[in-house]
Amino acid sequence: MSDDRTIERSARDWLELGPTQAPDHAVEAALRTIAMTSQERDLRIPWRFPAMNPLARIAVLVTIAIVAVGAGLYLTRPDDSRVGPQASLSPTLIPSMPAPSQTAARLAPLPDGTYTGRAIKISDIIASINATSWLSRKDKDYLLTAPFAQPDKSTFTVYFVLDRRAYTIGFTVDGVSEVDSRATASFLDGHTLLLQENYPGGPLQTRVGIAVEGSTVNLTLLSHPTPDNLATDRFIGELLYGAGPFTRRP
Amino acid sequence: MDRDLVEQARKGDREAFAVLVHQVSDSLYSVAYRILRDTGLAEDVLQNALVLAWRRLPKLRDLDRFEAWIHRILVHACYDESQRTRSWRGSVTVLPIELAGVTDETSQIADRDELERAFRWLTIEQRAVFVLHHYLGLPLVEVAELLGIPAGTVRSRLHYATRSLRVAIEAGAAIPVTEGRLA
Repeated sequence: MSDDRTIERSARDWLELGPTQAPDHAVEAALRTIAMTSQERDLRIPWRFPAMNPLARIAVLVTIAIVAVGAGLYLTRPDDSRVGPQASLSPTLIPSMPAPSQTAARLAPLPDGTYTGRAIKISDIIASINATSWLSRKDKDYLLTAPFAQPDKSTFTVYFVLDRRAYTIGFTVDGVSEVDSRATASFLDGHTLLLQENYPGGPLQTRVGIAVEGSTVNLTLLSHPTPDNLATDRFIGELLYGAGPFTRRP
Repeated sequence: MDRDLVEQARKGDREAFAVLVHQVSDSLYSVAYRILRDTGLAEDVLQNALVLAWRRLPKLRDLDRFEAWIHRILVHACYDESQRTRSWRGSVTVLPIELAGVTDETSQIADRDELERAFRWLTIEQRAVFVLHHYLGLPLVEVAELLGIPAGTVRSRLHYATRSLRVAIEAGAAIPVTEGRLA
């Protein structure tokens, strides 16, 4: 038993030996644990799906917030690209500008860093859900299942890590990261962003207004990210925008 | 694998997931045992992998890849387990086997013992590739996809695993061979 082919043949025969059925007690133990274990939330951005859960809706809005913050930072950066080409700039940034949207897409070298909204008390969020008159009981029950409404937690914070037009987004509950996702965006003009997400049904587009106040940015949703305009979407949107202003931390 | 069951389980249906568990647990356990060579560790890894799969299921993008996806979770659980129990690799007792004058049956047993000892000298990554390819019968490209590593890496690990087995057997399972040492 010395050459490689003989070794492989012998090893295959040898691997066939041994147990081939999982012990029932091991499987049952796993199922008992699963019965007491929650699934992790998926905060991807499937806002064309009407049955989307509250967490997915958060992802939609967090993405928009990130894009808007990026736009704000873009607008507050030194305006050197508008006065002529710089030696350090990409050839695509010289003044022979194409259409505005294409220009904006190229002019998105935003500062990298971590951007954090203000911390919100989860007890306040729960109280707000219960006190909001335009939410139905069913809407409230639905929202109270979201991570921002876990009664045993204390703080909800939106954050993102920006790397030019690609960014990782997520939020934390008591400092523990729940999810992350990615998105891209371009500028329609100096005050409006076009958010684009690629999904199997085609690209999704949402417009977001931005307002810079000093070193922070506030956001305005110009087109609703979900086609069904649910009350729960509205609540989550207001919660998210209330999490601002967003501040960059290197 | 029933795609509808996966979808139901992804939405939080524990009964649907239990059905899936019963469909895949034998394969998962078999693979875990063959990588770790220990029934107790394989049971632990199986349980950890099933629970982790349940937790992460909402993030599964391609429902048709459920089986490969859960095997990937299992292999990584094996990696984690091997790190926790790293010392077992060095605790293998090397027993000399006298082959002269033995019968064919005895010789086969001796070969199995040699393989058992030699296999323990492989790295956990080499074992995973070796088991997925030679036990599950997956082509190298599928092993690469399952593990999320380049096909060249799979090929390299398989190559070194085979040569390590041969060298270890020839040396009486006394000398481990690490990747990069062989030409």
